[in-house]
Amino acid sequence: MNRLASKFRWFVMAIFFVFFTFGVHIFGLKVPSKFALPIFSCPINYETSYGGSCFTLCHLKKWVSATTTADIVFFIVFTFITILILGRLLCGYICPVGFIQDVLDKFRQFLKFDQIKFSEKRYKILNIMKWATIIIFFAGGIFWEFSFCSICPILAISPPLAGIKIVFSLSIVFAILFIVLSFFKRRFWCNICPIGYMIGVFHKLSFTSLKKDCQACTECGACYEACPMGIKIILTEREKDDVTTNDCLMCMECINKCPEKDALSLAYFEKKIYKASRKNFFENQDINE
Amino acid sequence: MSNLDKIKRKKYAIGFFFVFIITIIILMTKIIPSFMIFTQQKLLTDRHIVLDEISESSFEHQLMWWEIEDEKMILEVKNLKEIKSPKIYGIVVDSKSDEIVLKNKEGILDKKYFGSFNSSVEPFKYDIDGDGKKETINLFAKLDSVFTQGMAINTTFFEKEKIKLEVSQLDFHHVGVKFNGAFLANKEISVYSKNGKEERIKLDNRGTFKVNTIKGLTSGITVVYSENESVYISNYMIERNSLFSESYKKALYPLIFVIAVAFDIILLLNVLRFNPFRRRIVIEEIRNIES
Repeated sequence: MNRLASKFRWFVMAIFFVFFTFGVHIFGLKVPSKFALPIFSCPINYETSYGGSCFTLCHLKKWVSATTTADIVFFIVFTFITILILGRLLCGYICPVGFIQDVLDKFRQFLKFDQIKFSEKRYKILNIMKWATIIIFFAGGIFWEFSFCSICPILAISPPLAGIKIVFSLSIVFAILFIVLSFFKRRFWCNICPIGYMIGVFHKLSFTSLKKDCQACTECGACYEACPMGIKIILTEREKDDVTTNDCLMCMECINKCPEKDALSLAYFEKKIYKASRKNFFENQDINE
Repeated sequence: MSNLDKIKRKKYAIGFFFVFIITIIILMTKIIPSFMIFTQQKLLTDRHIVLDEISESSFEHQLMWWEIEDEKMILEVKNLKEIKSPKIYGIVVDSKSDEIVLKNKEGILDKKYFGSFNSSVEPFKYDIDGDGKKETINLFAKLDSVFTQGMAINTTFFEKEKIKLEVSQLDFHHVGVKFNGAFLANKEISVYSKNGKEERIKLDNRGTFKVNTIKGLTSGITVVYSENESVYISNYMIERNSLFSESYKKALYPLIFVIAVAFDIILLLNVLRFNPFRRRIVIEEIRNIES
């Protein structure tokens, strides 16, 4: 089950990556617009079959002035419904940037390079970086007429893959940093992602949740070690059964690495659909880590 | 230092050396020359315009249109005796347009062009609808290359003297039609797809019509508008990207550059993390603690 769940996640991520990057070449042209998902998927390519809403959100002022009220309402409602249904599964399963980061992490494991362990202090620094990114992302497009795209690392990765010629900008420098940091730290970008933060604000309202059986938990700390976002509450919570946090990507790494039966589980509509188990734990031990 | 550490260090050093050398070779020979000039205008200089006379067209209103083959932007003109040699204009960076002079039916582009091109011929008399009566035909063809439409939509308009009937993509869903420099509000036009399928469209009060996808625009559309015994025909095409073309390979250069530099940094960091420098620091720290 565990192996299957992991493979399923990779399969879904790969499908969405191909769809968002090469969709137009496979499925034909369909202009991204009202139905853009709240993820980082560079829609700067006009030929994308489908897009992420990052472009709209970082150009809010321009977008609002050029869009009808009905379209704005539709966008907000669609985004909210998507977050309600999927929550941060969008980050863990659908976002192409997440896929690139996971591929880099797998590549690091393949090369047997050590990952950089992040202490709480380092996560605090990441938190400061996250707020800086959020301010540049949203406020840049509203108050300063500054496009986040000019520094976005994804601009130097997705559009060239789709065949779009990019010109030299700071995004190339940030793309190099993105690859280096995501190689050594799993899901580095997700820690500072402004769209991820936006989804996270409403994540607790979504139908997806992470459950914990505090009686079964032995506080071994494996979940904290495995979490790419450095979420400690999954380990420290001793009363509540819902340990869903804004930052949780729903990547299920904590469940995979949990050695206690049913101590952690992924729930959808309060129904536990994927649980931690001893068998899964032993199956999932990675000698490279 | 244990033997294992020595082997590890040697392995990483050799790996780093090879990747470094390969990266340097790739950068020196292939990518840097392209990358250093990787600006929108400079990329256009790799292209050239070719004038091609053609005897067949898909439908009667298709008299002049653009085609793109890798780095060639081909202006196809139907070889009618009424059609004189077309003039080709390109929008230059300061938004005005400049004529591109053809030599031996080829036009070389330089850095000043923005990526939007237009061609027009002198008005001529021709019986286009086959009713036995000759109409005055005003013929234009406009091309927006990926340099204007690929990154984000840069709507371009030529001076009204250069193109009387002008079509431009305004946003993802709207195409604007200008006649004599003003938007053609609430007028009826005919829009032909590349294969000649006609659709009568009434423009809205802003002089635009809606498109659900831009597939048609990337194949090319022909807009026909009639006024006072004159027929204005304007072909409009947006360049599309295609995988595995020469253009696509060029688009990948910045990404290859990014990956090559990133992996050099990764290897360098890894050597630094595993090598004796770091070990020495740790040993010194332990000694300090012990003392």
